[in-house]
Amino acid sequence: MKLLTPEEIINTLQKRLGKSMLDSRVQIRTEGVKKRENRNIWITIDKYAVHQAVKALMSISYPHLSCISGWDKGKDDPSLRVQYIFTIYGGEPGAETMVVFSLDLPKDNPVLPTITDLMEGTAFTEREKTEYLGIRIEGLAPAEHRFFLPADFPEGIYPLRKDDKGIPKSMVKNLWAAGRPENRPPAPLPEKEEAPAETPAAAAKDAPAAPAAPAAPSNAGEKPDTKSQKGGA
Amino acid sequence: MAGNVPYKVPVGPIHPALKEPVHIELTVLGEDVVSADFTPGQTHRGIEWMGLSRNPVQIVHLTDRICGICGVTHSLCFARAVEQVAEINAPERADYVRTIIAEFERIQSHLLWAGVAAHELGFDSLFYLAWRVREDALDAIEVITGNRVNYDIIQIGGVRRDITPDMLPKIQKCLDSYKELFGKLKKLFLEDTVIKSRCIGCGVLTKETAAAYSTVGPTARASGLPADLRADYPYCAYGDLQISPVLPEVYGKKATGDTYDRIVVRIFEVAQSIEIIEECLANMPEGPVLYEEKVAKILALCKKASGEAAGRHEAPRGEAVHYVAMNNAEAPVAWKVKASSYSNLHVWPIILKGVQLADVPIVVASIDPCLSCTDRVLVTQDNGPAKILTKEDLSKMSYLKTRRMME
Amino acid sequence: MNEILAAVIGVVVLTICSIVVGLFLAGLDRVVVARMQARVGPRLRQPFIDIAKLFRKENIVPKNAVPILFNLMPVLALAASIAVLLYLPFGSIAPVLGAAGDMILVLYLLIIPSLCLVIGGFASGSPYATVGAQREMVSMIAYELPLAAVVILVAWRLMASGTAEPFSLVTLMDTNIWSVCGPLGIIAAVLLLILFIGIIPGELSKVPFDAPEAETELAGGILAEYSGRNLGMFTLAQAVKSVAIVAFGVAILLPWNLSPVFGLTGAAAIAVDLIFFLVKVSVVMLVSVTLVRTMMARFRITQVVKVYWFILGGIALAALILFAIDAFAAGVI
Repeated sequence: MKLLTPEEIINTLQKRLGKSMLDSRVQIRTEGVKKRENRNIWITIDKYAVHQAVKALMSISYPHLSCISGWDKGKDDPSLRVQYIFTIYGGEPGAETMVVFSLDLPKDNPVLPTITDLMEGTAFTEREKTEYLGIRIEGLAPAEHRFFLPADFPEGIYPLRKDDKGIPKSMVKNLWAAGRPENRPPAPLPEKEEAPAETPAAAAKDAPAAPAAPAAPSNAGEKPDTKSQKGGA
Repeated sequence: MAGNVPYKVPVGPIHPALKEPVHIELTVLGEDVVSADFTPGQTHRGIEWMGLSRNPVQIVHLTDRICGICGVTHSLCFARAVEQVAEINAPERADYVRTIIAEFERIQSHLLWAGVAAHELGFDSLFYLAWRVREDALDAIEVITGNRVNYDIIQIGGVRRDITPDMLPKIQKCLDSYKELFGKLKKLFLEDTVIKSRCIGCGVLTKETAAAYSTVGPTARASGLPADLRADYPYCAYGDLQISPVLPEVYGKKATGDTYDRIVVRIFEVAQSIEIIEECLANMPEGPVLYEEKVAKILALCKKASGEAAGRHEAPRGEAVHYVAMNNAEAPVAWKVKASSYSNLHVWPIILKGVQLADVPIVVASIDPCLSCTDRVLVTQDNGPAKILTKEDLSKMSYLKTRRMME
Repeated sequence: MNEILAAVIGVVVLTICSIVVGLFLAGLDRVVVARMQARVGPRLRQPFIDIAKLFRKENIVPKNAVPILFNLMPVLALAASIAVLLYLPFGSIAPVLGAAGDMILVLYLLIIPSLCLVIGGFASGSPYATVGAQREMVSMIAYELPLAAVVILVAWRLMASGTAEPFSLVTLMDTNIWSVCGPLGIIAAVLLLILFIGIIPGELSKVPFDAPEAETELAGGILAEYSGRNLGMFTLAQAVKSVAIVAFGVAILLPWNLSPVFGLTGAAAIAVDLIFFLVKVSVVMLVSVTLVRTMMARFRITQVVKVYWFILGGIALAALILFAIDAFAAGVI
């Protein structure tokens, strides 16, 4: 297999993508004493050309998808920016080339096609975009559960959005006032056990200077042994 | 006995086999796993979100806390990304120091993993041995960075500490002890009959699947994909070295992508890292280790920068990527962390299918999942007893200290 | 009347002694393992502290559990383990109920604690415990074959040499298996000893045969849902059972006493024999449990069956053939 230079890669992709390729740039970085080059290609494409672009890339060499990344361009900006961070020529010494497809996606209709039909294993990172940015992935069956956010995270809020769908102030400000969560499911214990659970919390409120820590030194001699005993058992 | 009705066995979020919280639900028929589903996100901390309101130098220290084991990975990725955007070139010596510390991290991470793997197999003596010898690597890291975890050595534009000549004997001692030990480790892990009988042919990830799922690091290499950023994508001092990816072939066997191959790759990578460190120490160029010593000047450069870049690094578990976009502002407008395990976790349902329940822990551990958890801190005082501090205790201590300093 | 009183006192004394010895052996095991792994390890009396702690802790019965079975099984396991000891000789002390039982009874009684674990596991209504209980059943089936082979081969060889009542443990106190057979028979007896050492870790669910309790796979398996007093009872049962199984092995395969060597009689002889017996038990325990579990990784449950049936079964077959040739050569059959 002949390895293409970054310019050749861009030309090949340009031929396949035509007008859908809006912009491209090659970024070369050198480090160390010998200053050997690592190559990075940044390409901006039209949002309808995702599938086509990945297919075109696959015709050059089987790619490796690091991840799909995305960000909100701002509170007042109408679009999100999404990057498909690929590399090709993995396993070729010194020749691995990063190819990043960037695209703008309108917030009012954030839909992208799935590329799982081209690369089976991309569902995971596509689902991440749904959870973090609210991007709907067309052609991907909805997941049975969340993969990245906690199960009790509110619906309809996407943490990396900077507009009104992002994290509201109430979720991050004055967290100390929220105290310990109170609506947790009760422990599967007999009824009588639940009453005393209140007491330690109440005691802690009365004497804030005495958290759980002072209890530890009283049986100080025992503690290290109880630990090592677990390892030995 | 079991009958023919499949039933569900939950593993996690907290389970002795898991060192970090993740939830895996197995559908089991007798002893065989029929299917597996997994739910990460049990320790979501919103670090990327936090980063978007901080300046790059602050974020470098934040990245150190993403993971306790890959302490240098994330800060190196992030620093490399910011340096590319702001067009800062780290001095050559800094590239070497970065490489050395990254390789020490690989040694300690692989040994930690080896211990965990032995423990998952019920081989506790080997677990204690691996973790005991891992101390040497931690000691060397402590000599270089001053810390055993959360090294905090990377800075935008270089590293914060140089490797001075008085450190060299201690580092060399550590390397020598590993060279001596390598044969023993190889024998214990790769020639033990029980380990062989439990790991060969277990949890197989084929080369095709490994490529389709974009797996990285030892997980991919054990399946025969020669993917190693250190060889393929010259960065830091790796471009100056002749590195070839470690594949199971080094042990004279064909890559099958099973659990045993993943052990082979990691054990041999320890030896490779020792060689890399020695070569770097021998060829280290003279000069400064920081592009700019004054943090304010670095921040000013970052504030003027605009553009986007991705910083990549071959972490012990594989490729990690940080994508950073900056736009003439103090804080970056976008920051995406792709940890190495992100690319490996999603093969769990595939490699767990069809294994025995007894093999679940070692198969789960074989990709070396790093889910990062830091909502508790264990403080060991010099003379007093060990105690666990919760987040509330820590905040209280922090308030008290602030008050003390204000007086 | 006196006999009954003596038996009752014997049972009480035996219970206390066996618990103490069992916990001491557990402590010894932990200390030695720790030293072999270059750790400091717990104190020798750590198991006693653990038991005291467990009995003070809350006893939780899970919602899904069957409370009667769940609570009954630990008691039954402890009782059955103690019952085994009533039929075993200790040095030159005859079994408390020696005349009433034989080796076959001991074999059956040894199954009961494991069976209690299985029932308790199924009764706790947790998937981990259920899988653990299934595995415990499989491993019982696995190790019973070589165990029964050892007992029957010893008894058969004794019978072949003309001993009356070869299954009685009282007979075993007088007749030494090593003294009745020729050179080939000695080799066979050594094989039986190896077999027995291989059986002990399985019987006690220790590494490499600890699949039923595998911590990293099943979070404690059968015992996952047990806590407080119930867990304490199971721990005690395990300790007593470890004394019982090792004492059983010592009684049939290492039956020597020290008192004839020194020409002692009376109380002194009993004391010396008892101490020597405890030393033998400790050594067998250290070799079969401590050393093995330091050196090995855990088997899968399918591998456990293979090891017990094919490898240990093969050794048993070899011993059988050697015994047969030996007996034939001596002209006794």
